[in-house]
Amino acid sequence: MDAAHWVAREDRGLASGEREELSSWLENTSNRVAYLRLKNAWEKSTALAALGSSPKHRNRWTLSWPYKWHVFAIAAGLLVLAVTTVAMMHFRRPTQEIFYATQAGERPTIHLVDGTQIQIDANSRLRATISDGNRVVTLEKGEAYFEVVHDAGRPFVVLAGKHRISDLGTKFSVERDGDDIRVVVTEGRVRVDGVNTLSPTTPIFADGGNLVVAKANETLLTTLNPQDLSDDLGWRDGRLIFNQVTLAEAAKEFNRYNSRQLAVTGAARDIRIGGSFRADNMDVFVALIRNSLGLTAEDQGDTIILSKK
Amino acid sequence: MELGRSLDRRDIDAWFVEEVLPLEPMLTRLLRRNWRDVEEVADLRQEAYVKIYEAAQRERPSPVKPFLIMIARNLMIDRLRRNNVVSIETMNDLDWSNISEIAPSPEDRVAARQQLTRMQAALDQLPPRCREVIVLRRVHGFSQREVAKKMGIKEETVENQVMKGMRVLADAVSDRRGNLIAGAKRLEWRRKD
Repeated sequence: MDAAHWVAREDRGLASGEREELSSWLENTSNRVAYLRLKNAWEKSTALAALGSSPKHRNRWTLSWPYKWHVFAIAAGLLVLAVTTVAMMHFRRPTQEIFYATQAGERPTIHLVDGTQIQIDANSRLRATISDGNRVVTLEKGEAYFEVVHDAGRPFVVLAGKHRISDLGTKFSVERDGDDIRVVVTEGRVRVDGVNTLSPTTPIFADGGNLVVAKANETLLTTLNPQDLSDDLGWRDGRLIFNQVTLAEAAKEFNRYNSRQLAVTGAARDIRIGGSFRADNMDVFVALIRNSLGLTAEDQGDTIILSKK
Repeated sequence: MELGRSLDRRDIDAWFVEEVLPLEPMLTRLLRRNWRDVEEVADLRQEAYVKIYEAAQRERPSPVKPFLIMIARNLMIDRLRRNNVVSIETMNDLDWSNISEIAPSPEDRVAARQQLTRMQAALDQLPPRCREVIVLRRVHGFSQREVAKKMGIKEETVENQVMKGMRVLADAVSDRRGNLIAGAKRLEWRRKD
């Protein structure tokens, strides 16, 4: 018997024998807190009526008149169609041209006129041109995460180095380091093409959970497990998450978020670490490294140098 | 004596429901952010509830929030230690004051309304039959028996759907959509070996 059983039984009405059974079951604290939690949620759920459920669900149980619902749905559909048609005949789609450059520690989210959201990572630079016929974002440096409102008539394209990433209705991030790019798709589908090359390349289609790593001449498509996927996007809520990366790589990540820089020298560069850290708190990271790995940290004001003793 | 004890418990029950349960979104967020295995988060939360309830039987902690955070933190440390993953100094070194949850967040203040919104969203996403049962029972106030009759299903089925629905609604309170990004993180430290 678990807590849900008891709350459901109580909701139906307990028989006299059950009442005693319940009260002895509740003597156990673990049972008791689980019961209190579910019971509380169940009691609160009466308020769902007050909030006003969406019409679709409010009518859900009146299944005896299915046609009423169908007629309404068709009428609503026609209305939406008519409004959209009229709107499309009368309005040009809004256009926009923006340029954004972020400093260390900044992570702004920008909203484009087409409804698309872009979260820009620290030390990044991008340019977006939204015109009537297409939407182009040029990632000049750094990383950005895109939540694109799909519009078949107006493709959304990200240009990064020698590659072009076209949205096919999706959420994805693009990171650029020189001409190397890294595309992580969290939802939907993107298409990655090489551009500026003499011979046309075969496009790569990446779906939710895929990672595309493209260098000048080679492109790798792999699937990320959900954990790696969320690690990869940890920067979005201000955290750096490392999973067995070298100290040198970790330092590089920190340096993107902080004006004070971290340098790792000698054998210390290759030590592998893991963990989750606030990107803007380098001190905690340094203290940890020093204490747990027995490294020395030399603070030179604008640079901290980590090395093996 | 027996009566005194049960009154006492009812007192703590009320305290638990009013003071601790509203912190569930915060607690869940905290655990998710710091614990890699999402599957274990509900378990850790339950354990934290047991701990705080037991502590309250000795003395009511006040304020509740930092106390609950401390419990959660200690639970995670204990587990990590059991799994031989972490050194204790390492966890102590982590700057927990950085965790924004310690101060009451605006989110806590609008919690009630927000939790209801989440519940509503969860209700809307239940499988049709389950949703129908919940709506008839909770929103329209029919008894389980009446619901069974109205829908032409067995009373046991209604009870089962009630069970299922209530679990989802309870979880919804602390569940934000888009948890792919926010959730599933933990503090992990492996020494190089």
